[in-house]
Amino acid sequence: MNLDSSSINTLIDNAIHLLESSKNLESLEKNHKAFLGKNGSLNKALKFLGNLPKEERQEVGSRLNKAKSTIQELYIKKKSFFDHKEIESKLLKEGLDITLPGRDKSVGSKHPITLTINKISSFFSALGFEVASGPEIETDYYNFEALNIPSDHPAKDMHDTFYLQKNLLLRTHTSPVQIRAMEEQKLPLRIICPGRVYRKDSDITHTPMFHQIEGLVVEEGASFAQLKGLINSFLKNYFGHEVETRFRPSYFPFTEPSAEVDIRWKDGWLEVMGCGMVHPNVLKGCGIDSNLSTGFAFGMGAERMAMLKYGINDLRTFFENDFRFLEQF
Amino acid sequence: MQFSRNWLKDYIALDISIDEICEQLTMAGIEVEDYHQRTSNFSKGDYIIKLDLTPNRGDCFSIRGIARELSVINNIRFITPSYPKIKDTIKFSKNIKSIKEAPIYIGRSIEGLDNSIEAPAFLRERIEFSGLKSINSLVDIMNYVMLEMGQPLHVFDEDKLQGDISVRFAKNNEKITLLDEQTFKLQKDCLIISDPHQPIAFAGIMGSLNSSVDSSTTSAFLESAYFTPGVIRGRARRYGIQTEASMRFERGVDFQLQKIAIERASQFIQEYMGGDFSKVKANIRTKDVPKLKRIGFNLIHSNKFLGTEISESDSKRYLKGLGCKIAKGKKHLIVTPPSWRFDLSISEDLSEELARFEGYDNIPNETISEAPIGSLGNSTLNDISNYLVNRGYLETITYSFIDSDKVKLLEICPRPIILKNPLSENMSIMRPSLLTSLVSVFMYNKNRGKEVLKIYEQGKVFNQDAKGNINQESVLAGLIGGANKKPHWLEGLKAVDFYDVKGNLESIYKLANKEVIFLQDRLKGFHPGKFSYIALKSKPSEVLGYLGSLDPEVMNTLDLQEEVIYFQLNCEQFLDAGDIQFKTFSKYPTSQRDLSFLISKEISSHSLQELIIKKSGKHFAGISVFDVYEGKRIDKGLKSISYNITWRSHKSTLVDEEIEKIVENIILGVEKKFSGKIRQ
Repeated sequence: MNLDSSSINTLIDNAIHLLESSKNLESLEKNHKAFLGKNGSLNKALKFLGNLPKEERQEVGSRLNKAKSTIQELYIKKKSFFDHKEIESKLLKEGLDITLPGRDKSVGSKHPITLTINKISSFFSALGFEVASGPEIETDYYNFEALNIPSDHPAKDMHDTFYLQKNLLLRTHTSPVQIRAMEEQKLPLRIICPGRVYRKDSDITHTPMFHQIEGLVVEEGASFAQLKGLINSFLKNYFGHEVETRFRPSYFPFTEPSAEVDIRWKDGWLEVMGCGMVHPNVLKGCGIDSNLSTGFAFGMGAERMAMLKYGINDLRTFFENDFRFLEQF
Repeated sequence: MQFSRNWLKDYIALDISIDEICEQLTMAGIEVEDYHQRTSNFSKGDYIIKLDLTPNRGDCFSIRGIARELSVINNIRFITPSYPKIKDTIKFSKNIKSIKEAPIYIGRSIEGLDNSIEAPAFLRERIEFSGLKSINSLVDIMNYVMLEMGQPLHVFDEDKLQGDISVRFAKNNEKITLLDEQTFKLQKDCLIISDPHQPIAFAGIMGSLNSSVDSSTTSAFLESAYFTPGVIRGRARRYGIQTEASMRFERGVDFQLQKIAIERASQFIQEYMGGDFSKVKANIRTKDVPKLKRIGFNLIHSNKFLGTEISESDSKRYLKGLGCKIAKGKKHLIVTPPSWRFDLSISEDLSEELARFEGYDNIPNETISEAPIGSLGNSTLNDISNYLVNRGYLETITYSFIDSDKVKLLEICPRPIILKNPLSENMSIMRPSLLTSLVSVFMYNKNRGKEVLKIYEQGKVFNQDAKGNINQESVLAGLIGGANKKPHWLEGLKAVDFYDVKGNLESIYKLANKEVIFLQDRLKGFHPGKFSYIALKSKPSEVLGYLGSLDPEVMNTLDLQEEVIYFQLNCEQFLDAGDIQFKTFSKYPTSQRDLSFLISKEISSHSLQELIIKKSGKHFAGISVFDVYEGKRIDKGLKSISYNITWRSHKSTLVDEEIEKIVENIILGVEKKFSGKIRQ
């Protein structure tokens, strides 16, 4: 057997060439066997080493072993290439039409009024307001008298009240919750009260039930300027930073001074909130000394806030509960 | 209230644009609702301005009042005209008797009026621009003075009066026919003007027909009075006759204006209709006339309260401009508001006046002090709501009042809470549960072709006990029917059933970290075999809610064919969710066995399971039902239930012998207690 260096080189070159050019796993295995198999040419050459003179044996041996590992590496590389290719072609046959719809995508939705109330409540809770609630069937005292609205007061004209037996009524605003909180809780007080309210009114812009969100702060040093700052930052948070607002004097029996808050909307101004400094009579009625603590309160209609946010133009849609409406939220 | 812009010029020299006037008024709290141009025969380019006045500002029900506001805003002079007294040439011969609710009652007789002349055109134009109709000279003059000054006046045909005048309360059911020819039976709290025989006016609201002036009137009795607001309030509304006069009296009319107004009216009458005038007869009960208030006012406090730095000179200018008198007290100023401002009685009222004229928009924005983060309330309920939404439920919000007819069909309501004045019969009962409301939403959407119908709502339910105590409890309720899921190309539609809903509720209680049990029971309106109360496991007497399939008979009435399931949970139970307490778990593998039992159909899975757990020893780790079978392969009256039971020790891997012993024990127990057999 000729084992001079050029013959070994030829052997290696041939092996590399054959392995490289194998078209599939089968021919790779065949070619691999031809060199590195039991009777492969390289193994044969290694067995022949013993016939070489002692002084050549070491050098040729090391060259052959090097060649063997080069070829083996190439074989492994090629084999893993063919293996991958085979798995891939098998997997491709299992492929899906990924454009078909997925299973169980029936997610429901929360009512837009709930979403609105949640959004507004989170803003205020981050400023230390506790969410508070109260009864919807109320007494005349909590709904009117404690709020500085005596019977026959013209301000009562603004509230078309539903009455029940025994001087009970459906609350016309969420303000009774504020009275109850002032009576029961310690100062300083910061609450936000969302809830259902009722007025006997039904037309295109009124429903007999709707939602209010009211807030109350009673603490030392609460001022009208703080109220303005708070409302302005709330409206910017809710409508976006570019929203333009204005405060106008107004009248509520339970606040003094009182204000309406408008936002610039399309061509004009749109009233979105009412607010003011809590009237000393209201504080006094709840046992709070108005010389020590002052307070301010604000309120808004959840429906209006939701209509502006979501571009809903008919108030009555909120209570029809048509799925074509609900599903959009 | 509406008025002509040019009329303001009688009181102020105003040279700003109509837009500015309206902007100024609105920003001072005198909200301009609308304005439009109007051609006047007497002045150039007039406008009609319509106001939406708040109930506290009775003083702005007059040209004078509005002009006064504008004079302060623009820092210009307010002209107070004076009117000369009329010379009296005849005697006033009536006695006037009044009561404390009419502390000022002033009258004057006029004779020999020329009734053939219309009131002058400028006067009629101003009345018309103010939204009133011209009626006849006398009435037009009364209205003109009222619009100008805010003092409602009334004129009687003196020849129709039968003697002295008294102001008194009506007798119960006393009849009165008013100018507009409507007849009312008055209640005892209504103030009237009366002659010795009959009522001649509903005081402060409207005159009666029997004493009204007409084209043949030549003698008149003029009335200029101050009625206390409390005696007028609510009366006009009660009889549905809100008038220009009642609107002013119930808000409060300037109690120093009566003499001035009657002279002003007399002057017009004399000028246009001639006639002989008596002296003004003033019946004044001094002690009952409102007193001017004195308000201690501290500008430093006011500035702190408002968060402003309004100067002393500005604040004095604003208050004086409004007609307040200011004196120096020991510690603070003493401010006396004018007789026309009933709304100014405490220092905060004065602060509002300062803020109004300073301009609300010029008050700085300040931040509130820092405070600990508040609470969003019931967060477990929010988690539950999120869960339901993720399970495909839509949240609804329905009215809290329901149809009185439907109550009988769906609700258990022995003592309904009824609205006295409902909008309609179908919104007249406060709902005792959310069932009726949710069924309506369900039907509405089913009729519109919806196949998956899962809804929930959170709201109050209203019930009354035998003693009449009202309970208003918040509940979370749901109604489910139709298909379980939207149709999918891989799976067919499956109708929802009881166990779909029960699974949702079991998940809810997992979220709420609460162990509950389901107690089979019956409730009117629900399927007798498909209803369950939910109770606290540790205290089964405490019912937390219920679920059930609607009774097929009710379904028939509603024309529903497929199963509909309702659940209702009280919300209070979710308030005390408490923190989850971690329990250590075993690192050792579990051992498990599947056991199938044949038992009587009458025995509930729950009771069988409880027994198995009892017999499972201290290493018991879990049990679940994986099959229930009733049918041909087993005897009638029996069912087969298969459980997968797992055990696990905290100390070691359990050996088979231990498990076998436990299983034997279970089988023996089931045989003994339920005559159940293990199924091989």
